Amino acid sequence: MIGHDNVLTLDKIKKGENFLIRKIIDPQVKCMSTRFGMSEGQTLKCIYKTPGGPIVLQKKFQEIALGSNLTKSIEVQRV
Amino acid sequence: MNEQNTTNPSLQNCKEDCSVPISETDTFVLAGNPNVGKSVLFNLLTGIYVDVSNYPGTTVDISKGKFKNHLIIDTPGIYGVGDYNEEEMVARDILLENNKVINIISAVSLERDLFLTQQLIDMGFQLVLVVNQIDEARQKGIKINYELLEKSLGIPVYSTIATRKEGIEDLKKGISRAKRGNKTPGLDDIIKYQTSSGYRTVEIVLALEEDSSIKQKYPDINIDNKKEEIYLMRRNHINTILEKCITETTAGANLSTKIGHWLLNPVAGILSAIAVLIALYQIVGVFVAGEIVDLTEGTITDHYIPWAENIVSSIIGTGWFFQILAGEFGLLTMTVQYIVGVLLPLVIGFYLFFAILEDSGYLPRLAVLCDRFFNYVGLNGKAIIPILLGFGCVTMAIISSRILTSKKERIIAIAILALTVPCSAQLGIIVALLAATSTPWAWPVYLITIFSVMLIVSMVLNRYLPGETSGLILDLPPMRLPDLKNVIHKTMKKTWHFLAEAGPLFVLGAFIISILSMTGALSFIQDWLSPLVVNFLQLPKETATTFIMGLIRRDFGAAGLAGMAGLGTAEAVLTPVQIVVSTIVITLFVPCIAAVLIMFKERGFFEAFLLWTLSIVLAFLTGGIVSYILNIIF
Repeated sequence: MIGHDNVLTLDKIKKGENFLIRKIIDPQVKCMSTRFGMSEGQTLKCIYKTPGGPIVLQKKFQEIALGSNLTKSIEVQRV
Repeated sequence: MNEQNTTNPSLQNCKEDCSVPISETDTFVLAGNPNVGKSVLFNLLTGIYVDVSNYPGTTVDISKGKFKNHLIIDTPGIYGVGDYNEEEMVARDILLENNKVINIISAVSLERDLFLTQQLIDMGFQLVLVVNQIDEARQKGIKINYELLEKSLGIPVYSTIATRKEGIEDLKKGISRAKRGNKTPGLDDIIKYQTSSGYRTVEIVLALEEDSSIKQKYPDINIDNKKEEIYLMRRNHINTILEKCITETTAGANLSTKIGHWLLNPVAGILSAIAVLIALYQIVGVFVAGEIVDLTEGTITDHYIPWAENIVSSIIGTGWFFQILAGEFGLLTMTVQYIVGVLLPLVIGFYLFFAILEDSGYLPRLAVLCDRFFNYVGLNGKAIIPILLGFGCVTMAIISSRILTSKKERIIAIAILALTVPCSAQLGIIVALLAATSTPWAWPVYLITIFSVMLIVSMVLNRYLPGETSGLILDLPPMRLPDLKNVIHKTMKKTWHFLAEAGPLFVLGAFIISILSMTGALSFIQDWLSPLVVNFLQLPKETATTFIMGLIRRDFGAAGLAGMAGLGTAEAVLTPVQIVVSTIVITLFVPCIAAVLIMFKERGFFEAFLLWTLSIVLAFLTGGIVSYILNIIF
């Protein structure tokens, strides 16, 4: 995206990487993921990426799957 | 804020922010996340005398039972109180009518489950907390400091292993200790400006969290949307509590975690999905649809139907009324034979299989695996549930399409189900028909055609229907061995719900067909279809009858074809090309009358009529094209 080259989104995170959630843009996704334990400012791990499909994230014992279309709208930072 | 509100009875008799002592006859709402053992606990508390009823205007069944003199109301599994889906709305409405809650959570998913707990506390409910599945937590090396948890939340906490009845006696004694807990720090500052207006805390918090029901109930309510702010405050507060109360003693994954991860691997995932489908086909498709249905349907045709016919004819003679009650499509004969003899075993079989998949934690992983494919056709991975159920009974699957989030997704799923998914009653005969062609190309031609129609229809609908496909966001529960009692309980509940909802439609369908048959309209439609069948599909004229029979019961149509294809003792009148063409047409042709009626109920007249017409046109169009191509090749 022009002008957004420095913004890393969740879809770019690779399996095994830890990352910090900077911003969840979609309010619906934001609320649902907050309920599951994933919110802005938290550190999570990507434990699985199905090719072209959902990404599976882990926070302690909690595992959450996110569709690939949602991952593009979540801004993250590798840690 | 509406200062004139005087309709709320709680305003007069309940002082907020102080716990009211529990009386012996107080009602408790049982609330918790999905898959935390809520039903098991409900059964342990209430015993066998349970009243299950449908929550008005929804698909959700609510169980009520007695524990001593307390009424216990079970609610659907939810991740939070709100209006995100039908289950949440039902749970919210029940909670709004009460103020005491038994909240059950799982010791292995405290991060997730405590959100609901803290939300209930924030809403001012009097709570007792049950931390269940502590055995699984121990295996995973999770250590919980219950005293500190109790102190942090400000409510009584009990630990249990509900499946082994451990901790239940202590809980039973402690229910009367339910009280209001410690709100999320900072929340009171937001609420305090609103309390003077006279609303209950739960109503204010729901309004702050932008719940639609509160806005509907009090149109004048004037509270800012603070949902994101409150959610984040609550989440941070829970994280602080967890840091204090939880220690993880061992690192590394146990077997359940390893299996869970392994199932997400594309190769292992696809292999396991194939294994599950084979098991489903063998158990439900072959064993239940074959052996069990033969037994149940046979018993009804041999013993019940002659008896019912005799009784009816001895009372009312053999006129038109007899035809409606006990004739070819009789309400007391064919309808009973179909619902009890065929559908009931199939639906129980399917729901049982699905309850096992659901309780084991496998279904969400299957949804993850299928998500990418379903994205192409405008659905997300959750659509695998109604689509798979469709192979059992399309009517049952259309009902379950309600789990899909958007209207667009529900229409696409119903179109796929109504058009391309053969139900189990039909599937067995289709397999036999294609085998009867004794040609290697019958199966590939059939599968490619049906799959292509499914892809084209869903992609076109996805392209032109307004609205968005919701993204997949799923919690993956740990893989575990399902509890047999719970599986049976769930199966029975769902089966009962299906019968209550679809049963009357099968009765209505049979009635309509009886009328069509007696007035000669059925033969008129058959005659009218004949030229199309003969000239366009290049099939014998009699095939039209089997297509119409398929409207009554999908398998009737296929069974009619079986005779014409030379299965059983009949002589074959159809060529292999004709068998394949008619099998394709009967699959794509309108689903059975109950499925059509449920389509009308779900989607309204206009959409259902369009889908119905589409399935008729597509069935004949596809059949005609395949017939034309095959006749050139062979």
